[in-house]
Amino acid sequence: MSEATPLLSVQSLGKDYGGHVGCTDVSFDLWPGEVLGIVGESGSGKTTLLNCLSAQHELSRGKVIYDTRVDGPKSIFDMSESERRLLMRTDWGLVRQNPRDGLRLGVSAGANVGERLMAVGARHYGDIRGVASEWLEKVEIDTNRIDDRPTTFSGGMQQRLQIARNLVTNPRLVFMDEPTGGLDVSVQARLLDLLRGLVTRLGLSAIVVTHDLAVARLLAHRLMVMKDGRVVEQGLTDQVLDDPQHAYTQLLVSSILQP
Amino acid sequence: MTNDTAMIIAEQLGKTFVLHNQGSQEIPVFHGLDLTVTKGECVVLHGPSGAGKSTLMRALYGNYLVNEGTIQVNHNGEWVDMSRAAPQKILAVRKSTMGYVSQFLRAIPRVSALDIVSEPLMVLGEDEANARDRAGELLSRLRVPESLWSLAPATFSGGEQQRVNIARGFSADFPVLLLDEPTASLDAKNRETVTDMIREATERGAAIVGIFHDEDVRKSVGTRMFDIKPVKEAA
Repeated sequence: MSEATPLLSVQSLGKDYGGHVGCTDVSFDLWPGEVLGIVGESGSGKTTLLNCLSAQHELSRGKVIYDTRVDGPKSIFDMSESERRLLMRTDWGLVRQNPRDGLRLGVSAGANVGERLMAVGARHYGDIRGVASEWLEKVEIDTNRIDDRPTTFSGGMQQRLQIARNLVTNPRLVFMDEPTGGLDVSVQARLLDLLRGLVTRLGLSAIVVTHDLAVARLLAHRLMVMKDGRVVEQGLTDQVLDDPQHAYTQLLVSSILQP
Repeated sequence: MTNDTAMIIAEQLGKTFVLHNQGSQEIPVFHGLDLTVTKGECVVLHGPSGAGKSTLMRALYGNYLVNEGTIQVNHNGEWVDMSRAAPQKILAVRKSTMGYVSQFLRAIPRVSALDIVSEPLMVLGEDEANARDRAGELLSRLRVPESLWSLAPATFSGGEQQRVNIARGFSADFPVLLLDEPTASLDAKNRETVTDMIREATERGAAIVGIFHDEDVRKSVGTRMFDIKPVKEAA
């Protein structure tokens, strides 16, 4: 695994907003099949980092290199706009904290899933509907709801629909920003279990931003802890959480309330 | 491979916890520790509470970082230093070489006992039916009622959870096993079963490191004692 090419290679990445540093000096490799968790409190720069990695924000410094299916490793900001868009629609998924930002609310659940398929060239209505309904099943949404709009769904269902929409094109890399953020605990558990299963079964690589260390422990193989825009500690998830070395990580870990 | 093949070679290990948020207090645990474990050996860690037995165990598993020394583990013939290997390498060692039975089961919501036990086999590529059969065998042997297999263990009793945990640790026939008080919350009958399982594992050539509070268990499974002396001066 470690001898292969990293799927994503990040080199000295930095992003400034005017005079303010969003994140800086971030370097890491993400390997195929690996789930990386980024933890830290609000304002630590973790979402800024995710937005840079997923090509939604331009970088101020550094490089992000992605191992494309056809041409091998390529810097994502040196690609043409159309090339980058294709990548985002096919090989990548982006699950947002608020499902309403990641879904199209005006069209049916089935169309939300089918749309991504059409973007990669699927044209046969019956096939698209078939695949969409398979995916609704995989994310535990009753297929009778395929023609309903997401606005009629609960928050948990919307989040599961967003996941189906993202995974339907068999992406190799999925970015998730607080995927369980706005959900009830019981709904969270179901979603986490689902995500864990999908990631393992599909062999996905993922980068998950979360402030919830329990979510990180369950999903991530490896953790990066961010504070004030910098990575202060990184390593194997259970090692970082059980034997944190940096003062800030020790503070984070010791601040968790036990139910 | 003969039975004196080394599976773990830990040299000059030193571990000190530094509590940054409590006045940078330093808690030294051990220093200059050497431990070699070969195939077919069950090494019992021995020492008073707080001496660092669990800390050593967790360091061997890559869960705690040591400040000094190296921990070489024989991973399919390749030596991997658990004290500084990359995370994905440590995960590879845990996947196929090293099993760990902790004191408590970390239950995941919605995951059934049967799935928890069969998971180590599944990730090794075992077919689902076989993995579940093996999991069922182990759960039966450890007297976990079949009616519980499809339930998530969060609501099980302490003893039942511990037995699910043990079944998971023994499902994949790991070449190296770390056992942190596996018999602590078990009744006499189950303790005997676990003792048998540990002995069988040693006989098939597993290298085992264990912490056992129970004197009888220690005597019946241990092939060697390893003393850990506390280094704390001010206790």
